[in-house]
Amino acid sequence: MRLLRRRRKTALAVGAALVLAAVALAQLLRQREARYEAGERTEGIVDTLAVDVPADHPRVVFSEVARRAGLVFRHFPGERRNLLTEDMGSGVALGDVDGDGWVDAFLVNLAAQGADDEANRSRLFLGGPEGFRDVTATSGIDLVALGNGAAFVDVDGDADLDLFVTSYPRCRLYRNDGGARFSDVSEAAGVAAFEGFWTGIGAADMDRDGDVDLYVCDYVRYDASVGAAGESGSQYGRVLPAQLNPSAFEPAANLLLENRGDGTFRDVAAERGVADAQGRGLGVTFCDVDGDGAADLYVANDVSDNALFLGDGAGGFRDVTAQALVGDYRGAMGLAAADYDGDRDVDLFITHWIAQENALYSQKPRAAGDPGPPLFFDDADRVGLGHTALDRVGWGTRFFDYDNDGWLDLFVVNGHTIPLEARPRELEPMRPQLFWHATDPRHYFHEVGAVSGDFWREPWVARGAATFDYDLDGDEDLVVVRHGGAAALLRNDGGDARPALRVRLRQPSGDRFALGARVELVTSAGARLDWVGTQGSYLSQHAVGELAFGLGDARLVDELRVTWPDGTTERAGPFLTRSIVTWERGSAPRVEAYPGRATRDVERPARVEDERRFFETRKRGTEARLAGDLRAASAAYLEALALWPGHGDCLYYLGNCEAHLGREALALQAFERRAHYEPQSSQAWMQIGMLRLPGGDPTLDDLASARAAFERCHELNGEESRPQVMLGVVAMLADELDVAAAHLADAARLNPRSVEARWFAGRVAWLAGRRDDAAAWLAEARALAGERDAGASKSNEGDTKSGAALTADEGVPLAPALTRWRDLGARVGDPAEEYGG
Amino acid sequence: MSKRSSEEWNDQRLAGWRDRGGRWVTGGLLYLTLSGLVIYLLPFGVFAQHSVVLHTLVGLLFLAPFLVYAVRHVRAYWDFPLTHVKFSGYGAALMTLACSVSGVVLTWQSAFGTRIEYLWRTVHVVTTFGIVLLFGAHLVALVLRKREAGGELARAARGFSALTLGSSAGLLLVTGALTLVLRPVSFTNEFPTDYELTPYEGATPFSPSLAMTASGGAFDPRSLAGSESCGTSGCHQQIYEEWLPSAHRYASMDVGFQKIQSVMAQQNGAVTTRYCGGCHDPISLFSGTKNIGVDDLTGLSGYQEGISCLACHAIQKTDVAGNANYVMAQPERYVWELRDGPVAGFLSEFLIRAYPQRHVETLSRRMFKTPEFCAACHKQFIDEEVNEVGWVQLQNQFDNWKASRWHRPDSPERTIECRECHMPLKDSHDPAAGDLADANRSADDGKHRSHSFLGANQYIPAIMDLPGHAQHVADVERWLRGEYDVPEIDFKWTDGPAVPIELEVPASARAGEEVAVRVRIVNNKVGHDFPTGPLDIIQAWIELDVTDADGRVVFETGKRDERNFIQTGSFMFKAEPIDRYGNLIDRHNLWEMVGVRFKRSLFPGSEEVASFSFDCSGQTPHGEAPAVGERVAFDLPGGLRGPLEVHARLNYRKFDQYLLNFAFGEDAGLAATVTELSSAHAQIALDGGTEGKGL
Repeated sequence: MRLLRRRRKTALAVGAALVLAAVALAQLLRQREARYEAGERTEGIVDTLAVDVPADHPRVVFSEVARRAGLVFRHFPGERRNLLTEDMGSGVALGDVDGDGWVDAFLVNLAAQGADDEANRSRLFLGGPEGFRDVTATSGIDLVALGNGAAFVDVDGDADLDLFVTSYPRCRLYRNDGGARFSDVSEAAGVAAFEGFWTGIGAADMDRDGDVDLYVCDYVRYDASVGAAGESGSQYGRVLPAQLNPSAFEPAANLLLENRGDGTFRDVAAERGVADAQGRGLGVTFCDVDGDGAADLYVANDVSDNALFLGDGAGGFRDVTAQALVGDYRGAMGLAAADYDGDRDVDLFITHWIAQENALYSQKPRAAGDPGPPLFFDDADRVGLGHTALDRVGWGTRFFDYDNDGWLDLFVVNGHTIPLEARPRELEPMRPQLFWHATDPRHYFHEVGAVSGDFWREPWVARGAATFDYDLDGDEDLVVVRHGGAAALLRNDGGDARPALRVRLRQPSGDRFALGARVELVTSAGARLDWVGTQGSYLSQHAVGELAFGLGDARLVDELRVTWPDGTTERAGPFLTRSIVTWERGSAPRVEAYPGRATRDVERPARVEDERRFFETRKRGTEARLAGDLRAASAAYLEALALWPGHGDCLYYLGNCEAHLGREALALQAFERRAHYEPQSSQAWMQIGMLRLPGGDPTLDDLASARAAFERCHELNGEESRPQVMLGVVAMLADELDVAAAHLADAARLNPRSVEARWFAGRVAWLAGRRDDAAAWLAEARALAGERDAGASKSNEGDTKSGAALTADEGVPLAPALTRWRDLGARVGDPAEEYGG
Repeated sequence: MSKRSSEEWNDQRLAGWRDRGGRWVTGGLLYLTLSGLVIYLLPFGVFAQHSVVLHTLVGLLFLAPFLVYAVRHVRAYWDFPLTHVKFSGYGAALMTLACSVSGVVLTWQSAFGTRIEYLWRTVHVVTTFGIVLLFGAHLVALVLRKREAGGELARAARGFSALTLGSSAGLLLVTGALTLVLRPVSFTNEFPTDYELTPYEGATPFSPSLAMTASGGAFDPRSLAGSESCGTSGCHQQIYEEWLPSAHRYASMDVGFQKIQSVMAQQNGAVTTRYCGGCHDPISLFSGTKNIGVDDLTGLSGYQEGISCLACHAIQKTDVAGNANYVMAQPERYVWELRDGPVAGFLSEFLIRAYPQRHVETLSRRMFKTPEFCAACHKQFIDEEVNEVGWVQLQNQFDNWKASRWHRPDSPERTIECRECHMPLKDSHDPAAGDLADANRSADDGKHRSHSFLGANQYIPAIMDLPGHAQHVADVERWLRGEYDVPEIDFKWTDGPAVPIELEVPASARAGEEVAVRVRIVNNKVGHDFPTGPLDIIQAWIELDVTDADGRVVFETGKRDERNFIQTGSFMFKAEPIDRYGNLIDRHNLWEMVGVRFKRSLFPGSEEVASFSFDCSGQTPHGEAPAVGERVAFDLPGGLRGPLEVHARLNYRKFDQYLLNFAFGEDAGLAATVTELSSAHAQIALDGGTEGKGL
């Protein structure tokens, strides 16, 4: 018992000790809280400015395809020496220099000191359906320089694009002699005389004298001796070579090159008050900021105030920088100008140096008749464009609708001006940014690079950048000049899921590429504005002379209103979506499909539910058409075509509905679109020919086009009778009676029952004075017209229950003289009565 | 007479009842008789089929023991008085012998021949009943006697009965077990899950085709495919080989059809291609491949077999409305059909040959002889479901024929029906050779109807390189020219070319005179219009040239240019169907067809005249003189030297060049074969020289 008690005591003691030890240990451990580390995410902190990629972001990916597409260009093959002239980078100019409809590219190079080889040359690439072809060697452009900016401008008004290039220390002008062959006319034009650190280029007919004037930025008064003795400066907390700080140099005056119209230029910057000598100019654009139709000027200056000059349309300018609140002192590089918020005025986006945020100057509405200058507020932070740039140095940029949803998105390419600490010969790369403009009322820009392709996920040292549709598939692609690296060609994959309209404006004289023309595009979703050639970037030029509009869910472009640079306005439309509209002022616009997506357009929709919806909608259209409600039918066909743009039958029926409704120009687009997708479609060519015959819309009447279309049909199938009839009719209308008679005789032989062929043959004979033949033909025609009413057996191929073919009443409107034969059976007159009238 | 004592006979009997051989042989005989009766009397079914196989096996095993036993048994009772027992015993033995011999013959024929013979089958059946009768009497008498005998003998007899009955019952039980375990291959008769069953109101799963399945649901493609098995078994080999390059066989794989089908799917919706499937591709149609969102509207076996053997032979009902207005059933399959492996293959063929009634009943029907049966597909229209406008008649050989001189309701023996021309009789070793029911034929004429289905397509079999196409195409061309002899209808068919032409020219002509040439074209032999549809793509035309004695061309028409198009303005047989807006149906887009501008073809027996005239002066260059009617001027190279030679030809091709270019691209360089169907030659003397005459 005692023993037992003792044992129990021992056990109790040990137990208690253990418990105590455990508690003590626990206490000890509890006190050992993890040490706070910098950057740790602790509780209690929220970040309302950080926005994740929204779930409904566009399913668009940019793929880097430069090598595959033949755009093989390596920038600045030399070794960086920490000189300012080697670090500001270069740009790219885009434009159709050979007039083949495919955009060509000029890539500016920075040549290493003393180099004169191919690798250091700037290069010209011609675009085409198969990609790019390097034609530098035969182009006549032999440029080895510290190249900066470039712009294609038709300075001599000969309808082809000349090339203006800026570099340190000279500007160059290359005249396009046609066929993408250029001559260096810098000396003759008087632009070689100017010395400076030439950068950004703006182009417009500022004085409306019919030729294009240029504004050229001078960055700084560069002095190679700065830093040569090894001085250094402090920047961003680091000690760096003095050359890398632009503030180490004096600002320089810019050029305003007035085109004298004789191939020479004169600098009028000082006399017009736009020299901006206090600014270290990099970016510039001519754009109509105040909406008065005249070109205004905005200049983005590095470490100095930006400047806004309002133009008066006669070559005079007025500095309103301070009043407009757009002149803040930051390190500005690239700029973009567009009406991003749809309030019908120009807004400005400026890219800045590190820790400065980018600026989004939204123009505020002014009361009608307010004579004051426009007013801007920086809305960058409010819409997600400010703080996102705090740790980036931004360059090339543009408002562009990369997903064709109808709202302008934005890209910025970035890259530091300061070398990496570990590798002082290399600049520090930075991730470029792609912003999707969400369709919410806040106009928020979501950064979506993370889901939009590898390019946006990796850091680069980028400078120039410009947009175009290099593969003509209906969405905006990008070319980016990577400093000291390979140029990137970013193919937009998926943007063309939605339709776009590309407008190419041309003028028959003067400024052929209509710089500054204001284009208003009207769809069921409303009107949208853009201006030709005013978008800006950094040392770069977007595809010149054209604008792309994403159309969102619109099924038709109702109208295009163009205010040409001289202030006159023209309207045209409607247009099919997914079109390239080439509009030469004063002529009917030419409407074509995007050649780069012909295959995709004719393939059935990728998703079965879309295909099902397509056929349901198409059926709805057909039912409406057969019920006589052509408007509803047309609307349904347009809805169906949004799902399957290259559907032949749908285009054909749409065309027939529209022809009957009187919108013959749209009908013509539909038939031409079908012929584009199905060049073998004799149905399409026949209707094109019919639309070109007299009757209905007189602006479409064109015998030559009609003949070409019918000849195409005849070539497709010479055994068919109707093209022969119509070729006969065209020849008759062209007063080529012998030709007409031969065609109609062939037609009559091919189709033993053709009343039409015989009636027209009679008419031709009558016109030729062969009365007997006319009578004979008419008698034959009349006999057949009579037979036609006889009942059919209903057991032969083509028989119907009524005995007559179930053709429609509607169709292409024709002049009465061309349809008179149809009711021949109701008349009994002799040839004189039949044909004499 | 025997001098043995009754004890001795009793011992003999006891030994007989106890004899193991006797027991087994009798047991076998009993089973064979019972299973024979099962096969003969029970309706077609799995039990009966297994019985056939088991019956054959047991029968073969029974042969030797039976002979041994029979000899022993006869010898043992040789001295026995000729009682009714002995008499019935001899009778039963003879019957069994005859039955065995016929059984062996039938087995041999089923295993190694192509069919069993009616005579042997009759012997086998009749002797079976003989066995039942005589062997029954033999046993009944013995059993009665055994009762009288009692004791040991009765016990022996009971043992005898137990074994015989037991073995028979056992074998029948085995058959029953097999019946439960081994069933015919079951089909997956299901539409794909996303199959659009009623694309519009009132539609069947196969609309707008009028074709229907007997079940109203899907058919497993296997249930109508497998034509090869009909030919490779050695049974219908000739017919299979005829079918291989025939139009029925390539109805679906036809490159033209495939292209048009995909264009139709694209333009008018995949569901509407069911319209084509009823006649071109029934196997795919019924298995549900013609649906929205699919990549292949035609399934593999549908593609390979088109109108397979069963696609015709499994049709239960047709409506003369046409457009595939038929009802298709899935023929009941034999147990071993459609199974893999040599044993299954052997058993399948063996069973069909040994036990063919169901095979014959389901697949050979009187209906197949009628033109109305063919009309199911050889009469076509398009209705609102497809063209969305209204009813339009398309090719229609049936009504054409029905209204023609070849159809004589008043004298059926003079009527010529579809099969008589298009399926002429061929010398045959086919098991189905001979036909008692067909006019002019007998059960043993040793012929079958050709399954080449000779028609007018001399192009597709060649470009698709189908087996036997060389012979087939040669036959089709002879057919087109009317040179293919069909002796069995000689007495009621016309002679000569199918569509002969004649030239009418003036005897002589003078320079400066207008010369008229006429070509008469007669539909002499064709049972329907010549040419017959689809006339939007089929062409026949007159090629005519006039040359002088020096070979200089004075006039020509109907030539083909370097792109294979026929000279504009030629005299052609074809149609120009049109769409709603009066434009040509230019790529067989029948879904847009609402009528024709014109159609030129020749009704049976009728005649068309192509008139040409040319100016003998040579004053007007070719192609520029406007003229009424068929007047054509020519370019005269200089003075002509007579006589003028006039050659006319009637040419035919299956595909116009436009469609080929559309379907395959002009770069493919395809051109349809042109066959000259008939020709004529004449001379025209110049300046009143020799008389011109048709040659």
